Amino acid sequence: MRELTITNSSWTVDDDDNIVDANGRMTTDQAVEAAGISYGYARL
Amino acid sequence: MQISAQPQPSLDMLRAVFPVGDIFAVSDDGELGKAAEEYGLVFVGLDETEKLPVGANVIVLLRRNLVSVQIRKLFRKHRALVVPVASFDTGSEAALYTLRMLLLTDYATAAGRAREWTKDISDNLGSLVFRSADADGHSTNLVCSLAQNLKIDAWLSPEIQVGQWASIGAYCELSLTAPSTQNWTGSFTLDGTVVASGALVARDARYNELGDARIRAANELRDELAEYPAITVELEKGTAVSITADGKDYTDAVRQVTNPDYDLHALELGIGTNLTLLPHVDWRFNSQLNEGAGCVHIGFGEGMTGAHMDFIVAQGSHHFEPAAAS
Repeated sequence: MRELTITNSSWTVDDDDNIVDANGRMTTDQAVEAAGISYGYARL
Repeated sequence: MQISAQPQPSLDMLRAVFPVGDIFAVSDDGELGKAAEEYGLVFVGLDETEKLPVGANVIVLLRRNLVSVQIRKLFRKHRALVVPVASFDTGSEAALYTLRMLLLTDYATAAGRAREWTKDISDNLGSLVFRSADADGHSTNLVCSLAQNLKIDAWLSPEIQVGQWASIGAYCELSLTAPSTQNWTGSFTLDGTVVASGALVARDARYNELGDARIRAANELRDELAEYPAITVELEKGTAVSITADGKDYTDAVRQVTNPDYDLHALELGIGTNLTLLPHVDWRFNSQLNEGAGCVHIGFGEGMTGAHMDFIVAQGSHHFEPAAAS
């Protein structure tokens, strides 16, 4: 079987009004990498 | 493609997403808000979100603003379905078309297809092949070699919970993306021919100045490509080696607008799950809702340093090849 990791677009805000950004959705400097891990927030 | 007789959208399909309660349309654009009201949604301006009850069902229609952290935080206590119109075409016709298409989308069926696909992709280790042939004899034959360990972006259950923020595109496709420029083929490798019925251009909110110029050029290019019934993309080892329409070569044009440094390495493999929308699609529009209505699409560029361009195959079949013997 192929191992799958399913991600979804839910861009979480915690109780302190912080974006939960564990995947570096908005912070990585590498554009392709950023697009791949943060497509969820805009889903292009 | 002949567009089917215009069905009248209702809120029925959205009940899979928001089972109970009013459905609010929050928008930064009055025209879109008014149109949403005519469909039975409750319009609230983006600058009036304090009026929303806690836990409200919200469709966020962004026509004049790109997605941002600030906008995301406005909906932290609500159930939000986000439609980033501004990332595609902000013109009136395209925006109203997008609204109509999101109301015609069968969210429950799309989520069901996504679940089936994730099971099939997990169970089958061989290559995934898409095939189709149009009336003019142009044939798609796309062989997708998938990595053993895959990350897939997908929405597997239609309902949005309080605090969740779901982008409309997530309902309409399974998306696989290249891990990085150092590893273009780490998720998938594409070989063969794609015959696309339509193309899309998208802008990421983090675009830079050079990307802006390329995205504007890409929009003009897309308008030209929309004049053709078919766009043929030839791929070798994950890279487009030829992009033509009616014999005219667009390979370098697409390379330039998607960032020539990427040299047409495919960034995205998208498997459409919103197939029931296909009879209603008008490929002339640069609308995100067209993307998942086709069985498969290939994307180039990230939308930041250059345009993100998708080439969409409308109809086709697929199968998995037998796994290679170990």
